[in-house]
Amino acid sequence: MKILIRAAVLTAALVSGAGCAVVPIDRATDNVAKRVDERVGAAPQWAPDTGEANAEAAPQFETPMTLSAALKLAFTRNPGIHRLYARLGSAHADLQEAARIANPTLSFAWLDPSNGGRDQTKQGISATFADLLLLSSRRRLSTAEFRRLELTVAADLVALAREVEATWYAHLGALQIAAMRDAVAQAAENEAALAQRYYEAGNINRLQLDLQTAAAARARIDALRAQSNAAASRAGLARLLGLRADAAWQTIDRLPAPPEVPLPGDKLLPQALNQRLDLAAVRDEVSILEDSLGVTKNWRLLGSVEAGYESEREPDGSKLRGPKLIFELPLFNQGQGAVERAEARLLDARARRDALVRDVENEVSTGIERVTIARDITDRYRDSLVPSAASAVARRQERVNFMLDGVFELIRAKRDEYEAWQAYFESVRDYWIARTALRAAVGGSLPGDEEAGASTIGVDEIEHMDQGEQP
Amino acid sequence: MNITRRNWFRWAGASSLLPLAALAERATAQDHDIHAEPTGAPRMTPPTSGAPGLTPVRTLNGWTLPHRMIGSVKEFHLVAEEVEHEFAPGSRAKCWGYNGTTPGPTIEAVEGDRVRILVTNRLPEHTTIHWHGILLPSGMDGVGGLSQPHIAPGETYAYEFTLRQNGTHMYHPHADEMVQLAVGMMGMFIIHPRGGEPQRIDRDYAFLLHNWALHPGTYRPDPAIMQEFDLWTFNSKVFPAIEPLLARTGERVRIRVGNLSMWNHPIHLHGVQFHVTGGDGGRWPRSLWRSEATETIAVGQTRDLEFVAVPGDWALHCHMSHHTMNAMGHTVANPLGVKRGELDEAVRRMLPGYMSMGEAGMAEHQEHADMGHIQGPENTLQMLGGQGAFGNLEMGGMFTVVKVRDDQAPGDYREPDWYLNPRGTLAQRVSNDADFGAPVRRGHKAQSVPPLESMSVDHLKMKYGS
Repeated sequence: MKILIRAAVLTAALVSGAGCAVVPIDRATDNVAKRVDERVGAAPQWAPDTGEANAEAAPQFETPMTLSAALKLAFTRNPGIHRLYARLGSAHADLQEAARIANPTLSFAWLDPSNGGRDQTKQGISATFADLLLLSSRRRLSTAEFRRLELTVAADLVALAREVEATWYAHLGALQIAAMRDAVAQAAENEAALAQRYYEAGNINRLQLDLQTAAAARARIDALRAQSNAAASRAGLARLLGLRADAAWQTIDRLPAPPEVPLPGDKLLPQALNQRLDLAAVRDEVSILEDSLGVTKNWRLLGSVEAGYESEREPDGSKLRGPKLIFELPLFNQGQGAVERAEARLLDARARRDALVRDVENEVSTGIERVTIARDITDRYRDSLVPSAASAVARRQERVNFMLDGVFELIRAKRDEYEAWQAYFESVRDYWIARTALRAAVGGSLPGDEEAGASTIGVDEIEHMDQGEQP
Repeated sequence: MNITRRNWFRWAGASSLLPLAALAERATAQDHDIHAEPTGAPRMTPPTSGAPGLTPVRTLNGWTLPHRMIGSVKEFHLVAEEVEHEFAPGSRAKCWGYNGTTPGPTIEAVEGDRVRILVTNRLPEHTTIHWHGILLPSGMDGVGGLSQPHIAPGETYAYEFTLRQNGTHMYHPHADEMVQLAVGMMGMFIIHPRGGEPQRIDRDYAFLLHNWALHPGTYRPDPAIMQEFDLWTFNSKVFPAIEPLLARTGERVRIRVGNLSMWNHPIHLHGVQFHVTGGDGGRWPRSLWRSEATETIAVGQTRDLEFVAVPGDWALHCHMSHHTMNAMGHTVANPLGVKRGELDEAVRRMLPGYMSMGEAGMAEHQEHADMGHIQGPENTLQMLGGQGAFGNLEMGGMFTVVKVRDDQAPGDYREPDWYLNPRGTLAQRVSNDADFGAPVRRGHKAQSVPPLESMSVDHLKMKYGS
């Protein structure tokens, strides 16, 4: 009877609120955009009209493209962002539905007696009463669920940005490596062309020439492979930016130099636990499931409850009318399964939350370590290995000047210097990829991200550097 | 670094103004006044005192060790130590020597003298001194472990013996020889004849031949090298830092050469036929003298070369071409005759400092180096250098000049200017057309190597060339 009393009270309240508007989708997309912008520095541009014609439209971006332009492009043109928008839309639809009770049913019946007497008519109105009783909980849970979905959509967008960044750095690295490999191949080809002249002069033998020719061919093959890698990384970037790889767009061609700002190792973990959207989403999921378990327990005995009103005109013209109530007797199923399921789902969510917390801790600590080591490696290339290799070319040149060594040794020293430069670029690329992973682990930008960083040296500058010039 | 013979001689010439008597205290061309003279140092006594009519030896770029008389004994004091040595301006090294120099000072004495030689070891390892070629008691012979205990660091040993011979001799360690000789421990020991020279010697020069593995850019000779040496020296100097030998026309000149290197050296003197008059076995009887223009001084030998000076500027050098140059790579791809053409430009695009050399020969190297177009490794001498009256000498290593003049005063060791050739005695250009005259020529004009044609290969066979 308690249930019925409560139902009666709630009915009055809920019926009046049943038509209330849920949170509008615009506010949801704004929330998402704000969260993403805080973490990435760019926000999705959800143009509702995303037909094919739009995909063909000339993309607007500065040339050569910078990373922030690439992020803007990805947030405008990447098909995935529209799919996320659609996900938000369907979830919103679910919310709309959950916020309303099922419509009442009207029933009419015209019963024609077989003995030729007057028709008998029946009219009734009925509503699923359980729906009404649960409406408040359902709306609360649905709204929370929708907010959780907002978080996951925002998390996916942040992940997309991180993917763009990682691909971006990989691509710039590939461009610089391809240019370096081309320089190495050019050097090896010069060496082989010289060897050909030495051979023609009668000064070296076929074996020496063959070795030089093979080395030049090998170097050129390596350069072509590097070129192919750069094309592949361009295609990967094009896919993320929603561009055609063969269209005339150009990125900048130099990796940025690592920023000078040190990482505050101890602040990043609290920051990560605070701002990771996926963690926020799974925490929300836990609280939703906790709430949901409570609701399930409270209403475990409630089966289907249907209340109605029926009126019936008898063949004799008299009317019969009265309320109708149908409810389930919780004799056999007392909602044990539903409670158990809700408990299991809560347990699962909590376990996922705990696992994610552990993952975040580990990602942040290993991420800091990787960035720090990557930084150390680039510094060693910059401060020691590359200058030594460049100095070795100058020293080799001095030896060539005094006929202690020949031109082949000199060119080989230059190739070694180019190799050192290439390894340096690889280390800078690896630094940025590690830094991007740490950004993903922390769930937002890192100190130094806002620094208008210097660029690394261009390969063309390396190729025209004076000998002995210290990089 | 840009050494030229002219610069060098200007410097060396200044110190050669010193009176000859000062030579024993200070080598003409070596700046080793870093050692302050200790109190009670031996007062300079002419090394040939007690034997009138003898000419003291002039050690090229070196000096004679002063002695003091202790009773009737001439006492010398050698100190074995690490020294800072300059092979020529632009190349110095930490070497080991005696009394501040490599070679150590020349010991000069007279046949019949009783000599005592104190040897103090200031090296980080033990040493001894062997008196090469000198007749003495077995226990004075200086072979570490065989004739005597080694002289440990910090110890002083005394060698004492009576000189029973005369001639050109040497001294050097007989302990850890591979190291101690390689880093410069050596000296000459000249014994003048008691009764005077049978034939008066007006100028008596002495030098030791040596080889050094001073790798380009390093500052200490490498004792592990046995054949591929970098520097070839007369008295531890390379041309153009080697003093010239001076004489007046008609003077009798003796050149005493000792070889403590690891190669034999054919020493060649231009302008005269000299007589080989003796060696570390003593002066030869006149019937054994040989008239030569080149005398090979074998490893561990000395030879005395005597001649009457004729006017001119005459080269004196080892005849091994690579011993008259400084360090050069032995494995450089031969650039001679390679037509590099536009490829040089391609190489310079990535190596802006690159200058190709050697297509027409190596002579251009000295020009580029002298003019400062090219910079070599630190502490490294250019391969070829030196200038004469008519241009580059393109020499290094074991090379110097014998300068004989009609008006060089006896005993004057100041260097005169270049020789003025009397009219009609200087080679001169008669044409600058390569087709001049009708010289008889035989043989074949040099042909180019058959070109190597690259072939494309089909995938099925993957067989390349012949």
